Amino acid sequence: MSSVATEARAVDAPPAAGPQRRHPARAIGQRHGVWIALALLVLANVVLTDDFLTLSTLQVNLTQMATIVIAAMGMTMIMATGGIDLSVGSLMAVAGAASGYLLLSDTAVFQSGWSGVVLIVAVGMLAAALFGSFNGFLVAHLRIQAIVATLVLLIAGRGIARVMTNGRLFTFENPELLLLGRGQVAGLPIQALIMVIVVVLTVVVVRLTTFGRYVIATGGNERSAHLAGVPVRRVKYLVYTVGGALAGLAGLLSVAVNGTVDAANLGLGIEFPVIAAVAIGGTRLTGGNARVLATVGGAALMQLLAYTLIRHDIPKEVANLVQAAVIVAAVAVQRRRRV
Amino acid sequence: MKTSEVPGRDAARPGGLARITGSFQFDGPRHGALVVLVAVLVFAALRYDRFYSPFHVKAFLSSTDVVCIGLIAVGMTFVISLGEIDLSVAGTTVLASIVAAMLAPHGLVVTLAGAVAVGLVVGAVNGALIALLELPSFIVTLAALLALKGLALILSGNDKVPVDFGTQLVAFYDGSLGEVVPYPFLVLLAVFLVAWVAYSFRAFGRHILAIGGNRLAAELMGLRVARSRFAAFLITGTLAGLAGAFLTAKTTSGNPLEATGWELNVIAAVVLGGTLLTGGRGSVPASLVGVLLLASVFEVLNFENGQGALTIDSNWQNVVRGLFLLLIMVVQAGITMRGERVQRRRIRDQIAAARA
Amino acid sequence: MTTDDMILDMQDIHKSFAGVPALRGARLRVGRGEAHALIGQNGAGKSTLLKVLTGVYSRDGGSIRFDGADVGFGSPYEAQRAGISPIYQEINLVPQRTVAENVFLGREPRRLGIVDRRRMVSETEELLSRIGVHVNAARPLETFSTATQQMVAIARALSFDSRLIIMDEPTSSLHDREVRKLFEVIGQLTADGVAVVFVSHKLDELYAVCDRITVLRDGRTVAESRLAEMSRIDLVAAMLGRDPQDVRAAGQTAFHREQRAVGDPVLTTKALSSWPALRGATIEVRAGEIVGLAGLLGSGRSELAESIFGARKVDHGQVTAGSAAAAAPTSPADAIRSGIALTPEDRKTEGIVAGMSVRENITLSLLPRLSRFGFINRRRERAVVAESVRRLGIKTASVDQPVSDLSGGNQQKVLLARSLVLDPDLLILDEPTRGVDVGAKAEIQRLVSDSVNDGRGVLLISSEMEEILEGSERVYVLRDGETVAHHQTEGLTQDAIMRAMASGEAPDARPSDPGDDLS
Repeated sequence: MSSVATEARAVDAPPAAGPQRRHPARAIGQRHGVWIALALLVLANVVLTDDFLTLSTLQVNLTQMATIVIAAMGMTMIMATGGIDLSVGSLMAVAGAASGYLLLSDTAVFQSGWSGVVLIVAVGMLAAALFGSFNGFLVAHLRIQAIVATLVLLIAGRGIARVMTNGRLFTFENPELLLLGRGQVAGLPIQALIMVIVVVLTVVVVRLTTFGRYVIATGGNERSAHLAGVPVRRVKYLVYTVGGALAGLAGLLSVAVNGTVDAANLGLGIEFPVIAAVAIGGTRLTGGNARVLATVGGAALMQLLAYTLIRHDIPKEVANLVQAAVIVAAVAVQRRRRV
Repeated sequence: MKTSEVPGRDAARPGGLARITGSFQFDGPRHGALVVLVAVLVFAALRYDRFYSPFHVKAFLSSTDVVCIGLIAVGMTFVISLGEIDLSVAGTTVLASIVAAMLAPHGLVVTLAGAVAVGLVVGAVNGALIALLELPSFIVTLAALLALKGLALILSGNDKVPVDFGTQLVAFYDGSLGEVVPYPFLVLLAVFLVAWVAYSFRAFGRHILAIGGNRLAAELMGLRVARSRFAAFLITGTLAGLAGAFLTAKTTSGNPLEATGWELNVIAAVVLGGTLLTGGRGSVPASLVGVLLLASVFEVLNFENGQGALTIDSNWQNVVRGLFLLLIMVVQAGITMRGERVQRRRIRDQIAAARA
Repeated sequence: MTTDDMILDMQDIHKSFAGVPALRGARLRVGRGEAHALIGQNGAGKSTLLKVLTGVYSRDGGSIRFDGADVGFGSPYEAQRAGISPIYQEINLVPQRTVAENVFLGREPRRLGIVDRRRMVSETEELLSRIGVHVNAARPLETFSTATQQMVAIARALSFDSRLIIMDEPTSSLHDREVRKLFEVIGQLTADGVAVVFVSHKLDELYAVCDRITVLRDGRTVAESRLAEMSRIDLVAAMLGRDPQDVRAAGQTAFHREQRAVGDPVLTTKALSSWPALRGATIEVRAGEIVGLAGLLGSGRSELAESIFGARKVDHGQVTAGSAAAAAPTSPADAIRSGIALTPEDRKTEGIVAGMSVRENITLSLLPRLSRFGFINRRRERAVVAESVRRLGIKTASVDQPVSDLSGGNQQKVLLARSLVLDPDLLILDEPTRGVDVGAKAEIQRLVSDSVNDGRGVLLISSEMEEILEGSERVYVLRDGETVAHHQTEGLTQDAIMRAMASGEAPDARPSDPGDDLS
């Protein structure tokens, strides 16, 4: 609204004034910009790219998106509380390293069979959730700013993952685990299906549960939420824990796709595309809203953009430039005038 | 009871507890970092014979951990004091490094000018998007990082750009004052002094801190907020550019894959120094202490490995680095909380005494 | 007064926000060395007009003459340089920086380009002592009381050689003594030929210091007069756009009283202390009664409410509250579970969650009871909200509208609804009518009277004497965090309460057992 502080106490200007009344076109851009951009890009591809409308195009793009989207679901909730998790890539590595620990053991159950896979996934997610809860502890209980608090595990988490695997990269043969990463059901990659399940669950949690409502309230106005009886500390603690678990799942899928455990590179630098996807989707860095589906749209937009440029033989580096421009454009469109 | 209260004499305003302890919050970690730094340096002197040998001192003072991280941290102090962040610095450095490598044959002045120019342009673009268009710095500089790394790869043709040992740039970097103080460290010192004066003794720094403390107030007081914000990003960009030239000199090549993750090292150093990410408080010397602390801890770890008594393999290095950051942060949080408890106990005692 | 005597002449000012007019032909003329009152209801356009003047907004139409020249400031900075200084609330200083820095920000005295700190501090202390404040100006502003911070803001404006100083509700956080000091300073200023525009809702203050008045309503100037020639009733009538007769008949507040049986205590506090605001607060609230809590700003009223509600750590003393009547609540969530509800003082920062809808705001505290296995029962939620909106008369296009789109009064009703849907045994209302316009105020007062019932007690905190006297049956007065007086409101005068608030020497000050006065 305005930049004069009296406004904060007594609303003297009419309530209609200010950002609530946006230009209609701008409002549409803010709400649905991601989907419009995505639709335009698909349309452009239909015209310009050979063999675009094929199953394999879909498969390739979904596969590339899956890990980012799964990690971004946790990040959306974390950012909705006004926080951020820079350590998401390291948490992926921690989960991968934990699974590697089991895969390297002599126990037969981890060498093949679905029960072993379930155990591996459970242990990996649990390990990452544990690290995530450490982030939550720092942010919620010690009240350390999220950027620095999660910086600790961004730096140390990967180190711990490497220590867990003795800094080695190794491959594994567990066929069921590989299937999880590379298999298909009805033409769709299994990991894409897992992604869809995670997205649906996140939507359900955010829209239909008390917890989801608490997440938004905490990010929207922490003091108000606290006085309204929202257990803000527990909420913050939990979003980082859940975020950790989802990062762990993303890490395990990467492991399954690659057939290797490489703690040094697993999820390295993934915090950037993950945060970018959430931001393009329109979830504010300051919290108070959680646009879960738009986050998926943001990830899809970035992925399809990269795919399009590569298909037209534009080098990956140039694609970086275009992606950067899209990110800035997205936040520029969604920008709300300062309160 | 206070009956003859003069307006303004009542220092404690109700509910302002955290604000009073706020001054500890700042001083604690800053002085804490300095104390730890001194302890580390004394420890090193006692334990390693060669730590203070001229050769090693020179090597330490001309390492990228000191010179490059130091330069960027000085700039980042301005940005963080505003309550903003610049994640693009590593991208700026690496692009400037490529440019410097290409310009190296044309002499020192041209090389440095080229690298600094890259930083200026990046800083100006960041500053324009953030200060003029009011976009969030976190996202803008994140995107800039992505773009700059892409540009560096394009410009270098995805390969290292070698630099001849004989170039002025490399010679300058290797040169030193009395075999101990390397020229690049002198440049860092000069930059540090100028920045310190600008930050702590000139109106510019006061304005940056005022904007970081309460932007609305700063605007209403007539401070040119956009200009100060723009300037802060310009400074950071410029220093990151200069760091790029020095990175090239140190590694004798422009490598598009260098400097990865430096933005986080810089932020960690500034935070270790005690500058608050929320803005409004900070100090340039404190950031330099943070940089030297991080660098010397790793130097000590290297020495420890060299002695062979205790091997800390490279996998552990980042764990130690992270734990170190954690330690300082927990101390910082602990000091704040203890301040509150002490005040509380004092008042309880007073009440008890009044009752007795 | 001729045009030449005018330091400021704003004519026919228009300003719209996205098509919605905020100002439509407003006029403000201020004479040299005059203390000028600017008054109007919330939404009348006062702030907008002042922001147009100080360059925060650009005007859509009209003319501004300042000191004999046509002007149009592009920024507050330009306005300041031209000699117009606004003083806002303490929020417009930088808490982390020193007092001296705050006074001189933007115009630091320098020597060789270096900020001359010693001179800055000594000049600041000199300026402050001129208005009777003696502080160490080298200390961070945040270590001083709100009142002192306000004085620093005034000192800052004085340090400019301003010819027009705008004071936007400058007294709202000052003690009586400080208000008197401020009025002296204003007298000094106007004697020196500096004009002051004084915005306040407190009529006493306006009549005490101002020479002339401008009344705004719906973005227009509806009255302009010498203050001495305008009666209070006429002034209020002009503000509300009503006939003076109606205003007289309307009475002061909209509370109503009914005979109710007073039941068991729903709240007892004994010698409650919480550093630094509370040092021995003793009150009792019983089911079926509204109990007022009066006290100056900083007397610990809100802190007492927070302590009862588990939002503030209690150092010493005892709280027994709610139906559980067991241990004191340890958190707001805990308090809500044991039957306590609180409507906090500051609507914006402690009350609403701006990004959420009306519906979500109303049910935020009720969610645990609306959900099973963590899933919200949407049908029940909608039913509860629809009922609240109807009963409280919340004006909103839809319950899914963002709460920030609502007017202040309706936002306040949303907060009241949030508490009432909990059906609490103890309802604590902290300044329930602050910052809402007159119409909404009356409605809220009626709702407060309605909210008490046989099973519920209400603790009503208010700075307005009328609200305390007419809205509650008994009143406690807090001073410096202590209960200093306790009265039945029947037959009580404002004077008695104010004396207790100011000095703690009320005729029958009895912080002891409140039960004595009942029955």
